Amino acid sequence: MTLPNPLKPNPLKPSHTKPLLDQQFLEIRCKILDLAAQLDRLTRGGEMAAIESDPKWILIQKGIALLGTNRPAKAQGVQELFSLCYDPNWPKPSPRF
Amino acid sequence: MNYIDPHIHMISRVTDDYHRMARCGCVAISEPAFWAGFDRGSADGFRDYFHHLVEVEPKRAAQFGIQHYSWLCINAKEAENVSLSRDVIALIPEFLTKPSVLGIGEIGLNKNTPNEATIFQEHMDLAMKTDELILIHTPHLEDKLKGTRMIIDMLKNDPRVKPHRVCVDHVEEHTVRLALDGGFWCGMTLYPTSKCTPSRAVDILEMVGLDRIMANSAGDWGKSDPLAVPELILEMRRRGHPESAIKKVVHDNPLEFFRQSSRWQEPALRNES
Ligand SMILES: [Zn+2]
Repeated sequence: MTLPNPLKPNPLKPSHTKPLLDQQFLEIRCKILDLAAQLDRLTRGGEMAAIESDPKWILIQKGIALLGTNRPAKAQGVQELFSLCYDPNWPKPSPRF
Repeated sequence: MNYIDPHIHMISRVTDDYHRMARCGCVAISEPAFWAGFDRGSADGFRDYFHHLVEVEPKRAAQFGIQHYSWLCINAKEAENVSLSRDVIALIPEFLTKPSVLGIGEIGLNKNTPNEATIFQEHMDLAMKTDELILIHTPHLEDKLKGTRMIIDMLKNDPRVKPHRVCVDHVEEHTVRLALDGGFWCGMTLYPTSKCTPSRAVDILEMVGLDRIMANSAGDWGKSDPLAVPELILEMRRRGHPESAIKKVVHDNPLEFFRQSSRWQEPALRNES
């Protein structure tokens, strides 16, 4: 995410980290638990070898790994990870004046 | 708080939704033409749909004091059929006399195909000829980033396009800056699973600010929430954001964008007490 224009300050101030953590701790815990249970469900199917090279499974693993990094804008990173490639030279239609 | 939902498909919602929206402060909505959940067989199907958008739905909304506006086009999904699309585009001008029609939309891309791009450009040609505002649907999920870039390429490739007369809708974390940096308006869609949540939308506002950005529910026949904009209002309040900032996003910004329509007539919107 590009930084906002410093000449025009954003009137919305982000919440302070510590009270936010206190407030959201249970919600984040719940989401981690949900994800863990979903992964368990996949494992219980007993066919993990069958999805080892499945692009969807590879993306999920990359997404989980991204959450453990220190990079900022993780949401943007996850979005980009789950996006198709773009070719700037794609054949564009011409405007008719 | 009075609010506007600038993107909602009321044709697929029940009258009780209008009632509940009005009770939550909805004073106006705009309804873009979209996919009906099935491909229509002929241009006549679209003529009836446009009649519904410009005549029937405004009356249903008016019962609850809600101002109803609309946008006309053939959606990106059915745009794959180029000859049907051209027949539908030819129908649009006869409906462009209605003051409640804000412009051309929601045009865009779905699977980012050459046919979709051809019809997107032909809609733009019509919009430029008739001096219309443009509302743009960007694709879902893995297609969104690529499709948004392609759409912005086409907008920038057309020297007639004035960015402040275009709204790029369904932006998320990875596409919002593409729209804003290009000088376009943008819309965040609060929709389960495939789009943005109210919390993430407020995160985006905290990152990019309040200019040229609005929020909508895109409520339709899918699992969606016609009261999603009030959810955003609650989330902004929960985080302690000022009422003036909330009002800018959910009321003043969409109104500022709509007011550019060449047929705009100022409605008697309810005043906040
Ligand atoms: Zn829509």
